[in-house]
Amino acid sequence: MTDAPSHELHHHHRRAAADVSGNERASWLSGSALVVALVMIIGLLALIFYQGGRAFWPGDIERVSVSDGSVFLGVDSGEETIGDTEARRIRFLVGNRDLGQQSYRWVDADAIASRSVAGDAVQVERDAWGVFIGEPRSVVVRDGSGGVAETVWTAEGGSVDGLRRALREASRRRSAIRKLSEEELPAIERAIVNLGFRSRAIERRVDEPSAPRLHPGLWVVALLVVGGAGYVAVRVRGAGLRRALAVVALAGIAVAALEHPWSADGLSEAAAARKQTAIAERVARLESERDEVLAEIGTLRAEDERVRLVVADLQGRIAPRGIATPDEPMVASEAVGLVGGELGFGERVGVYLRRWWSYLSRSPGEAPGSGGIWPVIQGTVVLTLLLTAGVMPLGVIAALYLREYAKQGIAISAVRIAINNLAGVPSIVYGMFGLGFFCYGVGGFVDRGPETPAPMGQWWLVLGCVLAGLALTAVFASMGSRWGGVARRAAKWLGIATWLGVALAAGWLISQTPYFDGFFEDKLPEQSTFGGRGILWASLTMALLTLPVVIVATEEALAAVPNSVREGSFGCGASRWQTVRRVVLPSALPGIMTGAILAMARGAGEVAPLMLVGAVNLSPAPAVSGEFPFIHGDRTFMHLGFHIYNLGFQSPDAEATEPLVWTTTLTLIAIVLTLNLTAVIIRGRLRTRAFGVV
Amino acid sequence: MTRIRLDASDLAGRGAPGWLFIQARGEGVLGVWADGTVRRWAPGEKADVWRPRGSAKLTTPTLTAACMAVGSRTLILGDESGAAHLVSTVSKAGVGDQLVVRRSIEIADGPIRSLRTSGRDRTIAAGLDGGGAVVVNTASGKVIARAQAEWDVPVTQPLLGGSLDRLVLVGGDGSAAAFGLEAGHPAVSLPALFAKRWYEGYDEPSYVYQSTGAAGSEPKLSLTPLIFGTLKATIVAMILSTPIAVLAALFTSEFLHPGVRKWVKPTFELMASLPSVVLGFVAAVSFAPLLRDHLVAALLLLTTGPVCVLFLSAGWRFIPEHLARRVNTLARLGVACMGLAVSVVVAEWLAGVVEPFWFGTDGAGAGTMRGWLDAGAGAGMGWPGWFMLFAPAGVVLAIALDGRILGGFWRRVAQRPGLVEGVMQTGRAAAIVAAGCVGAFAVAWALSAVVDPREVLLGTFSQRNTLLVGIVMGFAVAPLIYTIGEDAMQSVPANLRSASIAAGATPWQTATRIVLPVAGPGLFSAIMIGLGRAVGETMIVLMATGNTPEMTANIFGGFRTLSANIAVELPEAPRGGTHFRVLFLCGLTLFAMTLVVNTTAEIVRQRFRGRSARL
Repeated sequence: MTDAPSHELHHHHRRAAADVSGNERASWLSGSALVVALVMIIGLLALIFYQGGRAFWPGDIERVSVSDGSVFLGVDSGEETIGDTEARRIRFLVGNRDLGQQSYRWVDADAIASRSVAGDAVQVERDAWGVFIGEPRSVVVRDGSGGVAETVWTAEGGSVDGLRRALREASRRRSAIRKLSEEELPAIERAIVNLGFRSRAIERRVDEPSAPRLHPGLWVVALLVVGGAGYVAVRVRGAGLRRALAVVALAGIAVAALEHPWSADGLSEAAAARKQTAIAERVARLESERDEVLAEIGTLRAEDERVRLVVADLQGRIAPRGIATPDEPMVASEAVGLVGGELGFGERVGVYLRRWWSYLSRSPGEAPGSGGIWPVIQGTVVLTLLLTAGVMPLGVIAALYLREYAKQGIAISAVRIAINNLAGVPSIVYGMFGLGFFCYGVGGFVDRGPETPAPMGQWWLVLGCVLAGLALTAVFASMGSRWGGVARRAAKWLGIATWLGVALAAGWLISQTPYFDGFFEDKLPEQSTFGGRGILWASLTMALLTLPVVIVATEEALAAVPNSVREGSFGCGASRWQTVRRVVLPSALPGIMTGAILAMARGAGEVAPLMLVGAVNLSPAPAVSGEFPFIHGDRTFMHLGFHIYNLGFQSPDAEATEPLVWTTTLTLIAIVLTLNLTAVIIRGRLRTRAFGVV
Repeated sequence: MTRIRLDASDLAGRGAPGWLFIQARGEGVLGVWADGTVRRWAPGEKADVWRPRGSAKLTTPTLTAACMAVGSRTLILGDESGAAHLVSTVSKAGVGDQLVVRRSIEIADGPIRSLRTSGRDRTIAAGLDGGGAVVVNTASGKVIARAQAEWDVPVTQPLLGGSLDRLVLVGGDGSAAAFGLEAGHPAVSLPALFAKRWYEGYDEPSYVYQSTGAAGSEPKLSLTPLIFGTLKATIVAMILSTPIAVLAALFTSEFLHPGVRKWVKPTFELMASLPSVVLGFVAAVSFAPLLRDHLVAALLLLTTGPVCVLFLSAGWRFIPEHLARRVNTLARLGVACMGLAVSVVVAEWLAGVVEPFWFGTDGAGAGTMRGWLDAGAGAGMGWPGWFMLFAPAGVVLAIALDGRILGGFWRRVAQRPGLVEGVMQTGRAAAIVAAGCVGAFAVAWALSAVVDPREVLLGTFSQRNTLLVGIVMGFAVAPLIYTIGEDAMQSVPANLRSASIAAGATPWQTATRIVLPVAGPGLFSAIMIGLGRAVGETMIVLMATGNTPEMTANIFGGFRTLSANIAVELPEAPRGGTHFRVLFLCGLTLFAMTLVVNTTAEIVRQRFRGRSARL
């Protein structure tokens, strides 16, 4: 980096020369390129902030008469010129989609006979059919036969505030019903289904023959191999008898564990019956609980159905109960929000803030674009936190090794190329990898064990080879330390090759083990648990994707710690690990934080891989909930970026949902920009501090 | 029931055809003679006499077997030399129905005695002499299995199990043998994935990717249109973003005050971190209609932008030196900003003037460029299209040539800034622009005599098109190139600059002749990294194009990239199937492309680091 004083000098020279030479037009050109780029960036951000910011700003309801004689209520939402002519047309939000019209209506400015603010009209915000604009008439409570039992509010002498108060009770009931039917009921039903699976698993185990057992001869061979390997290791290294014994003991324990005598045999009839009874009892308890909840929902619904809001458009058509029953007034609780026809500035701000709050705090409704995005934000945050938890240890350890331990050479420079290559791999390819490796590979293994377990003999043979290989690496290591020259180098490379072989074979051993048949086999084939798309695999995929970011940032931070500090620590007698842990890491912490934040920002903004590994339009249950085990890694999730794609491109009424896509975009941008700004600021501080130390 | 007669008056004396088949929906009857004559009959004016509608004479050895492929639209003929020929009906405008040999596959050495389809896909079994049989997929040409029965009479009935797991051979003497089959993924082979193929229902061999089709239709899994689409999007994005990014980096590094640079650079870094789904959405919703309504203006802006800057720099010479000295870089950027605003206004005004004139003189395009594009090649004048593409290059070339050839002259006659110098420089700018435009016009005019632009780079306009993707992908790629490129220029040692300035070079000369060459490899790797990003970009392409896997160079047309293809189809593809695997192959291709690009970039960058450390 150029230091400041020389740059100033340089700058001075430059201006003097620039003004006499006369061929500086190219520098103007490059300056303009910078301006273009900056204008592009600022313009884009301004566009998003403008569109996202204005979406919830309420306008007055106007009574518009058109020259063809029609009159309607609408909210002015912008105008445009028609083609190349001077004529303008105005877009009115007219809502009332359940009366069979588009949400927006374009009217030529010339065709408007008159427009006036309709103070007595209201916008009724609903989930299912969007906004209804009309004049409120009354809120009534109906009796059993459909007649009016009580009139809560009428337009004569009633104010909009009064109407809002009248609806408050209904909306409280609505959220109670929602909580019961969307949270409690599904949780109970999931529990019942799971118990069903468990009961079936017990049934299966009654008939099951005992699990495969090891041939006694193989036992002997295995122990001989292990023992031999241990002996060789001890002989060659000359020391560490205790260590060799420990290896042998561990191998013995492993063999015993693989025999897993405690679960090998099928259940006895009596034990199975006992278990089945216990399960049946729990199911009965859960079912009665479910019935209670259902009854409660039923009561609340019936009560809810009785309260109706009568609101009609200028033609006298009322907001209907449903599209099939145009004469029945809508249920009052469907009104999520109520906005008056004529608003003062304070009221407008109030409505604006309320809309934002309701948007950020509610769940999406059934209809696309309805409701809010709270679970979407939640999904994004959980994903981001999980991916950070996944990537940080890995990235920091890798960077520590590369910077503090490894000898810089061809191998390390190849590793660096690989890491930078990883940074350049398209995100969709990560998504494919996640789908193939994590979801179907690892997830399938967790669910049902290996697809085609290796034959016993083969498996034990490979196990023997692995142990022998381990012993061999010890041999090579000791050869390396004893001999010199070519033999030493050969031993080193042979050792590395053996290590690689051992690692590969160990992977094969785990993935093909005949002794494991899955943690969630009970639910198969109806329900895959981890063997499909889910937030755990998504966050691991994203962790891989962000790994290069973390490694590069951490390496940079480690490089910024001056060597004098390390040398000082060594001089005081600290070991390398002590130096790293007590001296280097603490001073590199801000830089490592930067890496974490950058990774989070990338994870929050990336969409393409998530489409493949678990993001969905509408997730049935949140990934984090009060239900045990609280974080459900197997569940699909919603994500802000995917929500934008989905809402913007799959919605049937694109014009009506577009403002909501802008607000979602604004939310996402706000999160990503905040994270990035934090990173930039931390990095700036880190740089000044590092220079200060030097 | 109607009795019909097949009119074969011209084939008299040939006897009855060896094989007769009816086509898929009964629209025709096909007759095959052993000497290679194939004839198709279809209903004519009279309902009871079917007239010949297409015929072919195969120049092959004697035909020995025939069958209809699944879907009954392709005839498979086996001959004495062991080859199978796929014959289909092709209807060409003006010529009418024709029978053509779409493809020939070498199956065996000896004659094919019998042919049978699997009834499920394009796999057939061919019975041979001596109890042998070959199972082959006609779509890919891949031989799935060769079987040999224990007996040695010709196989008359090679029967395939519906799920391709079993093959039963029946010999002429009634003996039979059964074999197990492992079909794998028969529809995929290297030629099927990359080569030009003549597909059923197409007029000519072409590259087609169509993963979903009616049951029994021929699989069309060519990756070539997808790779083409990927490269097309990448190239347009790189052409649009690289100059801006590199020039902006050069200015930031060499001319911007460090205090300002401290703010500019993080802004670009923020830009680089902008989620691409946001860019895709904004492109589709805001930019697409804007580009549609201001198409000519947008294209002209590529020319008027540099021209306005040129005049601006010339106009700057009007300002006396003592005043100009007081204006700092930031204010200059403000002036440049105004210049660009002027160029937008000029482009919009010019578009209004030239559009009806260029694209509507003979009514072909109804006076709009979109109408002109949709009218197709040959309608109206061709040169305006070429001109708009060449004019920016012409102007830039003229500026470069002026600097290179006349640079010394201008330096000699240059005066102190003021009225005379201002007029002189303005005249010079006007001359440059005129030269550039005339040159571009000459090339465009000459070229349009040879080929209409709508046959090559332009074509039917779709709202979500390549140009739009190029512009928006530029948003994603430019900050990346900028950041890394600027780093590379910053790492050029300051003493080189000082030496250059001290030797009398101007800052611009220093920037182009000292800084750029030294930072060249770093800049190259920055561009390569940008390229890698553009190749793999998914969401922008997915949202800002129609995702049609077409293969035209039309910059106003759609395309489908490898990455968008994966994103669209993988969530729906059944796990483990041929389609699923082909999608993974798409991913592998994409990975290989970026691997090459990124590794090159990285190696160059590491070398560059070493070199700049030594300097």
